[in-house]
Amino acid sequence: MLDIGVNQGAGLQRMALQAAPRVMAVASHGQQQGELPLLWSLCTTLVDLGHSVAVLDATTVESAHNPGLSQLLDDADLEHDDSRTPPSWSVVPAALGLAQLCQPTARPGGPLAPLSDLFQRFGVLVIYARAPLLADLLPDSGIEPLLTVAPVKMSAVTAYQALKQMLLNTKLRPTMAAIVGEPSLNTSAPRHSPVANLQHCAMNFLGYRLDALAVRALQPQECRSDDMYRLALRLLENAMPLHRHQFRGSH
Amino acid sequence: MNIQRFNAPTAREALAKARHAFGDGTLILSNRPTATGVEVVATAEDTLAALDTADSFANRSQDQSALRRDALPSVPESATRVEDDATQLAMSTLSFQDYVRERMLRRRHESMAGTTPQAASAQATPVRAVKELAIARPRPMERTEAQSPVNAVAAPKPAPVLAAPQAPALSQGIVNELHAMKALIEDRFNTLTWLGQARQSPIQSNLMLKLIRAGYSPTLARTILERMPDDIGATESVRWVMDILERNLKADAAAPAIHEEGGTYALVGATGVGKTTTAAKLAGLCARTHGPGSVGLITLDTYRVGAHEQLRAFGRMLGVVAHLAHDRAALQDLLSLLGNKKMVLIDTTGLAPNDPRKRSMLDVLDLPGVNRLLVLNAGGHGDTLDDVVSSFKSTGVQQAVLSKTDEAAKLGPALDAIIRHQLLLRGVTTGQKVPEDWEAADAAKLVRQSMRAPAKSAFDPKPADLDFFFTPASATQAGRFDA
Repeated sequence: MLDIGVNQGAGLQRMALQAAPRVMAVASHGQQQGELPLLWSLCTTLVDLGHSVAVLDATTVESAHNPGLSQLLDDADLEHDDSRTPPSWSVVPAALGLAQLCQPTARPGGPLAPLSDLFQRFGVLVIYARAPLLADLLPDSGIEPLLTVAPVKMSAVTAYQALKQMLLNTKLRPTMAAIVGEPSLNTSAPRHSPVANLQHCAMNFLGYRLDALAVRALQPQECRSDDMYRLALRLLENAMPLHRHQFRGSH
Repeated sequence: MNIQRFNAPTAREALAKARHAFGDGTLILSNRPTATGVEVVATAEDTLAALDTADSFANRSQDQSALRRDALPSVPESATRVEDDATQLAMSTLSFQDYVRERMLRRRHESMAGTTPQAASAQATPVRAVKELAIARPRPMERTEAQSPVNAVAAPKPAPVLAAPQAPALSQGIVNELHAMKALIEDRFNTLTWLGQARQSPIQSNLMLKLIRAGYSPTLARTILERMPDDIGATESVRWVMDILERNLKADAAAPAIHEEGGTYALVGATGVGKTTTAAKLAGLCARTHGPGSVGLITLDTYRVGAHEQLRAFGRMLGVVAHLAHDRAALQDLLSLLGNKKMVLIDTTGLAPNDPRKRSMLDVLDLPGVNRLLVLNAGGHGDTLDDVVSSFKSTGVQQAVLSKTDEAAKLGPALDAIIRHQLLLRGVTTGQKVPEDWEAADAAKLVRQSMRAPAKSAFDPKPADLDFFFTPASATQAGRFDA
């Protein structure tokens, strides 16, 4: 009973089903004023939920001064020590590294296979990239990338473009999060809001019914925590386990 | 009765005069504007007390007609005066304290006036009715009813209307009581006869004691033993009783296990019975066979501190996300999100059978495809288990899991409740380890376990105590109260 490290869930831990990090994706479509606060809130929520998070940011290019995924792929020893406890969350520049992973080389386990060794210590791996890159990285993975629609000009147009690329190229069905003001408590959007326009276009031109998850923004840079919990749990549910050397989707 | 009239240019001054005359216990009887200002009629509070005493005395003397004659003319008038008084005072510049005092006084008057007009009208009606009837057509039956002061006070409506159905209702009540008494006497005699027979048969007597010692209810024990063949031997009789128990204990040992079968299950039950741990065990078993992607976990428990965190911790070990639903809509959303899972487990808040929140919680779970899985503590008292099963009863087949069998001194009460309520037992938890301490529900094994001779207990009945088990509880209590 008093043995250290023995608890009632030891049997579950022995099953070792939990070891693989989960991969989720956030689609970028150039609307940083909406995407970045949401990504920030998502990461803090995931950390609150007890996961260590690594964000692979494909919108930032690695350099000698700001090393990232590309350097890790070239020199795997940098992050290969499994024994170390991972930080709560870390952001890794990954524009070149992820592009490198998309090269058409026959890699066993799919494009993300090299990441399984590098980020095994993390609980969640968030890939923040533009839709075409996600389409190349996550073919038939079952992941539902997060597509953010902010109440700003052109948001619906850029989001529609990203949606079309994901749907037509790789059958990735995104989870749409609509950032709304505090008074909009329900998910039904006003008739001419960017979300409504996007849903209308998706249905008319792509034949795709797009459900939006409303995320209420308390302040310009702050999202409501209960909405974020709901969103984070939903994304986790659809995330893909990144097993070592056996890349396989959960769906 | 000391009543005085005070005149002043303003209400405030008139009230001040009245208060000067009667002190703090001034009672305002009326307050009306006059040509010169305001007139206030007031008296001392002692006068009211004297009036109360006179009232109670009058009631005690039961001279009601005399009292009514005194009270009747003044009541409507005083009621109006009090109302006006209060309204005016409320509008004036009195302090809040004065206002409260006036409200209290008004309420007192109303309560006093509330009974008197009823009596007055009741009195007035029969008199008029008698007069009218006497003029129109004499009907002795109606007149007798109407003239009765008891009926008139009890029912302000014309007496003949109420008098007619009263008699059958009364007789029906007596008939019901007699029937109940007859049933009770018959039951008691049957029990005594059966007990006498049972005592003469040592096999029946021993088995009865054995079943009751194992924790089975006297009701179930008697139901079984009444059907036992007469010519059966001692050894066979035990086997026979165990066979009967096994046959009546519905378990799923022969069918696929619940985690193999899959589906959506909401674990319900009282507090502390192990719903979350059971959910984690089932999730672990399903994940072990079908992978973590096959399991969905939802908790509705937003009440217990750390409930979500506990399920999430288990979920993290499994690689399964534990969702939280606050309401029915959120639960529906999550169920559609987890629609592709083999097994979805919904953990709920533990609720006592009498908890008023239970109804709303069960309403949230009332969704198509959601099966309820009642978690019963194997160590619970028989009555407690009965209460729980009754209160969480649902339509269709009620499924249950017996938890903490390793902690239960006797399994009899739990098996008894499961048999009597015809629950389908889907599994048994035998300890805290997740997911190891889970077993399929095997009726034979459970019955064997329950009938195993337990250690000596202070709660065990003696052969001489058998009478007490079959004595109706109400009779015993009544005797105790009489003593």
